[in-house]
Amino acid sequence: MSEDTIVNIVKVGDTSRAACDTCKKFVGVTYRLRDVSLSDGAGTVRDVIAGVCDQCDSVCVLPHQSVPAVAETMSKTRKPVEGRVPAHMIDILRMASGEVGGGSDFVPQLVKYYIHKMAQEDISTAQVERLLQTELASGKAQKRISLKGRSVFDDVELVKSRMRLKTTSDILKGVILKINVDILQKKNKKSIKALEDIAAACR
Amino acid sequence: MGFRDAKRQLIECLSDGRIDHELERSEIDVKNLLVTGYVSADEVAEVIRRCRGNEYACSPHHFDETIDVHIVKTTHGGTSWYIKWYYLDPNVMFISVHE
Repeated sequence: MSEDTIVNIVKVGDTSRAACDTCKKFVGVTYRLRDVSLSDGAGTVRDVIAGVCDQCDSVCVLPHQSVPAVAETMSKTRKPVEGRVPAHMIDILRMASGEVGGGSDFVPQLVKYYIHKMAQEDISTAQVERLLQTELASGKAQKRISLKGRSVFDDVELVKSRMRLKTTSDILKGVILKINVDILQKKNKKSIKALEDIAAACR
Repeated sequence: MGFRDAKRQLIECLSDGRIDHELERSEIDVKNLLVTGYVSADEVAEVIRRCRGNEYACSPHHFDETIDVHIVKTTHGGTSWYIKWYYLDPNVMFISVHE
């Protein structure tokens, strides 16, 4: 939450008015402690102050002060994307990250950028599948990659649904090989410029 | 209420922290970027500040037609935004803040 924004605080027992989705009308609500579910079924925000319908006891409204509790639950329930790749692929990522002005800590952003581009179909998944047939794709998968973020899990699932590849590790390998071609081999100006801007903003 | 008044009222509420989030089916919409904390009230205010009248629509609330529900569909920072709210004195009640 921004430091500039004031937050009006409500207390347990305070009353207000809100639309009740169960009663299908505007009702009086009383702020109480409730467990409120996330719509994707991934978790529940426990013991949070919420406006409860005085008529049917449904939770109708969440005051803005409860947003940090929601964010904390969301961050715990978002699954990281994890996979194992050969050690030379980590070197590719570090070199590519350096090429666009980022350090080793920019590597996750670099991979997430490419996965997102694949999910958006800006990068051909067929091309990535072809790269996985090359010699550079081989090697014992000894290094672990873990990516966290709001959309990376959904992006990987979307890419999986479009490709014949079914494991996250294969998708990560394909993405890294594509990064190798674009950034280190062909030095694709458009991709490098886009990543340079992101890397600069992340510094 | 017209677009300019709705916009001014919303920005005031965001600035003062007079913000509530309507829950459909008593659940927190994980795609709502404001209630999940992915964007701040200031960021939403900035999107609203820059939007234009042709990106705005208004319709009555389906539980109470005297309440105007305001909708903005706009592009900001290369992202498409869909923001839906109404004013329930003294707070703004957000229904959607989606990309």
